Amino acid sequence: MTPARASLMLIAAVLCVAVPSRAQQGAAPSAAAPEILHAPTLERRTEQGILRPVPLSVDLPRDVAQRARRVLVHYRLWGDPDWITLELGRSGARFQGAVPCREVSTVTGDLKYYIRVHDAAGRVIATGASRAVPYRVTIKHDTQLVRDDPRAARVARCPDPADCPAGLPGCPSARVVQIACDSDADCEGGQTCSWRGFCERVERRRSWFSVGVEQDLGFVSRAGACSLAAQEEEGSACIREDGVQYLGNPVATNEPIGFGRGLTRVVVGFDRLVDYDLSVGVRVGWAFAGEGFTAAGATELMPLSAALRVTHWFGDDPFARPGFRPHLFLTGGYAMHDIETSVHIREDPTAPPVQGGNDLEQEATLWKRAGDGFAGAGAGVVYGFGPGFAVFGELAALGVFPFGAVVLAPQAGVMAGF
Amino acid sequence: MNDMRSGASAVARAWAKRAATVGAAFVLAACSADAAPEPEADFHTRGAFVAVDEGGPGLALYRTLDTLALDDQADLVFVTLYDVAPADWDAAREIAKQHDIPVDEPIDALSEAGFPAGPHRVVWFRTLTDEEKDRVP
Repeated sequence: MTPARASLMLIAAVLCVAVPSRAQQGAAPSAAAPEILHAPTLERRTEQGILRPVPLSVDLPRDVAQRARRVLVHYRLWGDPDWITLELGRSGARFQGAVPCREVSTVTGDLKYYIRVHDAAGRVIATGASRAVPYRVTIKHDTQLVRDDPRAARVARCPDPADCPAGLPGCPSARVVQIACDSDADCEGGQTCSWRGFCERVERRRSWFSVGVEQDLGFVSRAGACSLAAQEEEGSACIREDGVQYLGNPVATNEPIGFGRGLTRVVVGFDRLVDYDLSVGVRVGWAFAGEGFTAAGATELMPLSAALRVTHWFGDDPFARPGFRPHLFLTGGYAMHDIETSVHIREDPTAPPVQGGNDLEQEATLWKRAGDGFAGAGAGVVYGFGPGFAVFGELAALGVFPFGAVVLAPQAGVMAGF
Repeated sequence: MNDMRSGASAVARAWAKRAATVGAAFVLAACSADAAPEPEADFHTRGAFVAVDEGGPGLALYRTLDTLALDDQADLVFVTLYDVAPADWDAAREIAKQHDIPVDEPIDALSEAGFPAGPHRVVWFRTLTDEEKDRVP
């Protein structure tokens, strides 16, 4: 095969469709696999001399051409580890361009390339060859070409790029830096489709499992917390120093807000990044310490908790690299909260006594079983040691209802991404 | 210009004073709104600890168990007399707070006309246990 003929064959390569079109199949374009564009076997491998551009031309079937927005040629020169992408210019149903002469240079060996046709959304709707099985153009030195075909005895030299800038009709194709995509399937070579709609190669993990330990701390109202009504209907329980539940006649006094320790939980979580700086996730917890007093007939503690959360991550694509990842989150879900604090009780001596042994004034332990719903917000920081491992610490402030309390929930743990 | 400035600052001070007054009123109202009067026990109240100065070397400490109204004579007061002699009212109060005070007379019926027999104070109160209630016939 002569060099001249090789170029002509590439230019004239008419690619035909081997499978029915999507319109014919009646399937949604996004649901179908890309169509495979076939070239005659002889045209899959050809030859060319050094210091010449490699002209490329693709004639698409009509239905593919109608949906095609960009035709990209991915090529790799001999000895070059990277694939380079060019965009072919459109002329009706034909897309054409060329691997620049200066790229071809004087390096001999196989130039590999394949073609991918993208629609307006970035989806790959047709392919010609592939990265695994590419077309090949063997670049040969002029002396070898002349020996094979005396008609190739002309000395080629690359033109000045200023005379024919890349991308102009008839000139070498423009290099494509960002390849539009609609899903990961539109990207290759280890790249994934970014949320901005371009293929990218990053170490970002989108799914993260976490496990941590949470120690609840709570604020509860102590005014009237030891009345019978509060203990029967509002989730509180007052325990005297002798361990007996207080069931007396307390005077309504101005007690300040109480602060105390709550449950200790182990919390397992899953978060999914849905954007560079946004994730949604779930948390499931189990309280294993700190359970409070349960009066006879009262609701037992449900140690299981569950929550949803939305997290905003600060920084420019923080999951693409190790380091600190500060964040804010909103959360809400189901959980019971046992909060232990102390309470001062003044007995009403004038009320009919209902329980013996209640001093005029006494200090008691107040247990508040708050819940079962909660909603709140929090902040924290994650430190990523690598693409798939991180440690975190965070603090959430939760409003608990209908049995009210305000709970602070510091938590620390580890995260694994995949 | 200075007059304008001084006038503006005077208005600002006046508004600040009003705001502070209103704020203080709200704060005070919030503090006192849910406060209830604290009832006190007297020596008739069952469970009241009554310290009586009967002229001895220390105070006598009684516990009111019950009262019995009689139609034609003075009411009876059932009391427990403790085997302690606190030096003053504060000491009596501290002793009364204890739950294991040594008892001298578990039950005694005194005429209200003669009890308390001297200056006295209700130093503490504790609701009666079943055992204490059972002392009353």
